[in-house]
Amino acid sequence: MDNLQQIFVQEATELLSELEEVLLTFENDLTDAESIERIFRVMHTLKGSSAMFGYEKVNDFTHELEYIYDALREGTLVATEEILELTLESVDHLKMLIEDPESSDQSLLSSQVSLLEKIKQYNTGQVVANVPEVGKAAPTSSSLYFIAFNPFKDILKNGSNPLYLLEDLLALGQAIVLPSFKNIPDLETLVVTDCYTSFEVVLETTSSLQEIEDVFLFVEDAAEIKIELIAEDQTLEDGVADEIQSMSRPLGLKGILDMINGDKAEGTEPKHQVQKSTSVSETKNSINSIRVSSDKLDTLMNQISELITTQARLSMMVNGLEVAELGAITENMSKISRKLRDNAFSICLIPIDTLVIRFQRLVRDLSKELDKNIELVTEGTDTELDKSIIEKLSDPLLHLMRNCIDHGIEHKDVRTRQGKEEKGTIRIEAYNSGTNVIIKLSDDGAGIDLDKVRQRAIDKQIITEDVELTEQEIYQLLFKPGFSTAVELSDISGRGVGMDVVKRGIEDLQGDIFIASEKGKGTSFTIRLPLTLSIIDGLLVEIGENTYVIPLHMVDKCYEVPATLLTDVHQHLVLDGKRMSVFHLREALQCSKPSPKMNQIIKMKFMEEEVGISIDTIIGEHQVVLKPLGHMYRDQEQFSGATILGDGTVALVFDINKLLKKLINESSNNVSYGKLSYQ
Amino acid sequence: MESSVINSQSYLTFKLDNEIFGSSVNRVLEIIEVPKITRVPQAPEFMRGVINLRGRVLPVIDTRIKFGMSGIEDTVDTCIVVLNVEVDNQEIVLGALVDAIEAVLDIEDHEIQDPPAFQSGYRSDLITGMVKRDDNFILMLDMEKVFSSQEITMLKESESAKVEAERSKSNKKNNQDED
Repeated sequence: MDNLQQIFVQEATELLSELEEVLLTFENDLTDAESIERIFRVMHTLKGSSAMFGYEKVNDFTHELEYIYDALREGTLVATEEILELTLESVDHLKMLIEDPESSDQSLLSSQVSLLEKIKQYNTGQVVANVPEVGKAAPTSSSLYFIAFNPFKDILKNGSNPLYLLEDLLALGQAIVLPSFKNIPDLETLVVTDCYTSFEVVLETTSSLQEIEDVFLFVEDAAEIKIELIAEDQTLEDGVADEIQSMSRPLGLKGILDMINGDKAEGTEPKHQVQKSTSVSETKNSINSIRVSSDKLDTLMNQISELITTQARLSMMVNGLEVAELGAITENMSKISRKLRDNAFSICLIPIDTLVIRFQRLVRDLSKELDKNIELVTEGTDTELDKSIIEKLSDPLLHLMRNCIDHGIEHKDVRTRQGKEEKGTIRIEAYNSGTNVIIKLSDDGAGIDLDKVRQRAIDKQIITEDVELTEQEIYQLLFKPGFSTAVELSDISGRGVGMDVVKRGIEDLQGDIFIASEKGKGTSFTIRLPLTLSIIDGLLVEIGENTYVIPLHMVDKCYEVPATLLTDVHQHLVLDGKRMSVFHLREALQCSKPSPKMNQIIKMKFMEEEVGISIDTIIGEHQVVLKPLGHMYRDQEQFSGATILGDGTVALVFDINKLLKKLINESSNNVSYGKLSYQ
Repeated sequence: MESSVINSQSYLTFKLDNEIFGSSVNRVLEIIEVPKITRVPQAPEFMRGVINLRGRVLPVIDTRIKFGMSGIEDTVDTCIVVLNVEVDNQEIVLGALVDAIEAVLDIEDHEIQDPPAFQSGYRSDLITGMVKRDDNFILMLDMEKVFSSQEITMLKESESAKVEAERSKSNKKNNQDED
């Protein structure tokens, strides 16, 4: 049962986010019939599945809510801002209900009651008064429809009973049902849980096409359904009905038409043609996407990683053997496994879109609350990132967004006074750059006041008064723990977490964040992220008896220096005419094996400063499948994981940011390092 | 009928510094030879490093050092027992280095005596019982408890004072490491 509930929660969450998305489009055009239709459908599905899984409160709630959209659809109610607002509130409420179906929280119960009351106002017709009399021309005369209902084999597995659907159809009017048994196999090959029967129905009804379609709403994906209007204002003549009935086998649309029209053929033919183009015929034979649990994807990725590792070993072995034929096979295999890997990675990539929908809602709600006029513009949100990165990116981005809305964009009147457009804009741009994805978040707000930031850092004793800082260094101060520029903490951006959490979150994803800002013009945050976390390009190096991997994107330049030059764990060396902090990793890692005569220094950027680390020798580039070091080594933060090399041994992968942070803290606890200290 | 039901379990016995220990086989996944172990620098001494177990990175614990015994060079008899233990509500797989594997024994529940009293000096919270076989005593280890701690776990009671000292020292070190 737990498992089923999980499926429901997952499905419901997706439905709700879809609902939210449609509602936001709906907001732009309250008369958009398509949006109303989609909203209704989503609600209907949610209602159905919540009832099925025993989420009664959700069911009751959506049941009432659905009425409003049914009325909107029918045109008996006109969409207003209030209705939209109410629906959005309801969506929030539903989200909580799904988390907590028993409503153990009292406030949830009370909000259910109050929201339901509001909803019912619309439904009992108190508000209906202001509805103009439009489109209420209900069809009073009956029409003839032809319905071909061809259930797929597995329809019964979904719990749908085709016979019930036919009963629903019969309830709409007078009908003749013609079943087809021609697909039923011999008894030996018959699978009792499969459905082999298809139906043709000739229906005489006063109901609309829509109502007939609604009968099949839940089996759209489980059957081929064709609904055609044969003729308006026509009843099924008794004679014809008997005739069709007596055939007692499916005749197809054409056959039926012939029977009905009989001799008066020519006259009605053109009419049928016209109707055909407007009728909805839904054929969903092929399934375009399937839902796979992320556990299964993780397993797939793990297995592919193992395959790549084994492949590397095989290639190494074959190189030593010099058997031409074997070499060709191995090369072919390595090509295939590379393709397989790329394919599997692309399965795990999802577009940033999924995040942006949430932000749209945030911007809408917050700008209302703060009485600001803000528009969110997005670009390139179809850029894809690994799903695990997207999950972890949500919080940092949300925080940045809040900052932009709260501190970045000024008040309406402040903006007009400064000669800016009243409406502020927040842009989210995303694009690929090599093996990285760049996400740029910018606003056209007040920008960052450098003097103010500096002063605040001095007040907070993060820096001393006499330090000279470059622009970039001042921006970096914003990421210090305990730093917050808003003089008053609002409940929007000042929730006790600062920009330091944003930075840490992004660094945990092996990414960086940069700030650019111009006073009065706006601020932009640029986030650079790796495409995926599980595979990285690395530089294979040797230190002491071990082999290590340094992420290649961190490496700036390499220098060769004699070992005698390196004396301390931390020292300053002049390289390329520039004084640079160099950390001697041999010392830091306490290697026992004697050092080679020449050592290598790798230059890299850390917190906008150039830092070097020394290693014994460089082996070469290596594509690394990252594996977790596991729970036992969770305190060894300087390693982001390990990888298995071609010869089957394990190499540790450095998390350079954390390594340098640790080295700096250890070696210069008292001595201030550079201009900034990293306490 | 009921009285004839014999409750017995299988135990893996292994040698550590002249003592024989037993552990329920339920936790043991396999026993492997010692491959090349990659040391993880700046980790506690009892954490010997990581190995490649068929594409999986497996941490290896030097059980001698973990139990406060003196470390020795690996011999041909040295083995890694791959265990599945639950630590902080998480299933983790780890390898434990032991001096030698003895046997797998079926031991009936009634054979297991209470943990040795004070005179032996072993900590009763880690040793769940004792079995006499031939002329040897087998000490039953609670593997879960032994490996759930991130620090050196002394098996001997008398050394517990030392453990405390070790613990406060490493705590201090951890505090420094945090920024």
